[in-house]
Amino acid sequence: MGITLLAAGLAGCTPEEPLDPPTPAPSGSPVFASDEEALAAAEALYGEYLQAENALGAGGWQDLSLVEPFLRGAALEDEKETATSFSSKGYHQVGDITFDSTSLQSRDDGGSGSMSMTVYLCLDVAGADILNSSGESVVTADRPDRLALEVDIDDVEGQLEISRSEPWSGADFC
Amino acid sequence: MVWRRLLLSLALLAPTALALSSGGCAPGDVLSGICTTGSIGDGTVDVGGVSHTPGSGGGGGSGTSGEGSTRVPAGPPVIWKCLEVTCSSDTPGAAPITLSDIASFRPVPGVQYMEPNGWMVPGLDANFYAATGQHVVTGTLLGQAASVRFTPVAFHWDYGDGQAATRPTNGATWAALGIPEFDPTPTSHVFLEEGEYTIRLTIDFAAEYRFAGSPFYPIAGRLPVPANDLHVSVDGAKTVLVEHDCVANPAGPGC
Repeated sequence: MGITLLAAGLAGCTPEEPLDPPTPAPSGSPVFASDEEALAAAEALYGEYLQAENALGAGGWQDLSLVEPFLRGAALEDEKETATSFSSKGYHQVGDITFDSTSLQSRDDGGSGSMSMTVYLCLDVAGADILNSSGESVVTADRPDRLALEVDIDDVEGQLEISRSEPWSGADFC
Repeated sequence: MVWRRLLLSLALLAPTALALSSGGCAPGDVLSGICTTGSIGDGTVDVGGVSHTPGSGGGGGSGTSGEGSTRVPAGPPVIWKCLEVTCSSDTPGAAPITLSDIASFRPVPGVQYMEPNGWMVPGLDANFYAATGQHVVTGTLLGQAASVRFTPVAFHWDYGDGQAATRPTNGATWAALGIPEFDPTPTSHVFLEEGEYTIRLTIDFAAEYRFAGSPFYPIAGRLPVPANDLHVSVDGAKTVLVEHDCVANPAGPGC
């Protein structure tokens, strides 16, 4: 099942080496019946989150409450750090960040309603930019337009939240 | 963490400055280009950076985009994921920043001592003092000679009996102060209860920074550095009549 899932998740990408296969879910009463279901939930969550993230950036990274419902732990701290920095410099975002090529790296069903999973995805920033108050772009000249991320998602009392988001340092599948 | 923060403040004063974020990448970081996966080659990790020319506007936002590159030693394949390099406009082709450059500035930890050594009498002053002082640590930053001058400015003593004190001085021996033993000193402490205690000292260092022949510039913040721990026992003292000198004859009557 894992192989099929990976192949489906990586459509459009050409990985140089296989990613870690999904770990089998232990028996019990899983939150998700299948890997496919878990991945779909992750995609839905990340889609909503990015929509809020784009709104946050468009508003000059002022209103963190837009994204806070989606984040916890290190991911929330990273977000705060970035928002504080950008808002203090008077930056704002134009265009939208998108994502694609989501695949499940692993998921762990605690069995009693708790769940955590890690997904890979490609973040695409080609259609977006950061402008300063004078309307000049402040992104790096060599900014990668697509970046592979490894994202941890936890189930917190029935609510899925992103707890970690880091660049994937393995094979670039984006 | 404090150490890293100081390093960052330190670096920010340099003609070319470096700021590292906490490691994760928010989408905004990816958007700005300060997030990369890096690439490992010839013993170093190359990471893309972003450079800003410091703007004249007070509210920020007047920076211009540019290009920066930072190399950190590969070692284990640790990759700095988020990184921002801020360069001043007159930086003459700054050499790559290396992690080892930045990490080379560490103050020499202080050493604390006490009188009497290793034991104390309840209700009497025990004298604590620390050996430390201003010193300069040299190294290279951005490929050029750099020095950091550390000055101990505050001494936090945790006496292990629920009491703590911050002293502005490192203290001195009773002899050096020219006062009798068990007299109060600016760094002495009275233990009221018998028992075993661990005394911890943390010394705050102020730091100044000199780069490529410049004068020393102060660095914001202080760097707390733990000294050694002292383990002591507080016992009641009794005056007893003994025969001969107990040091010379510890087995003597009364000793």
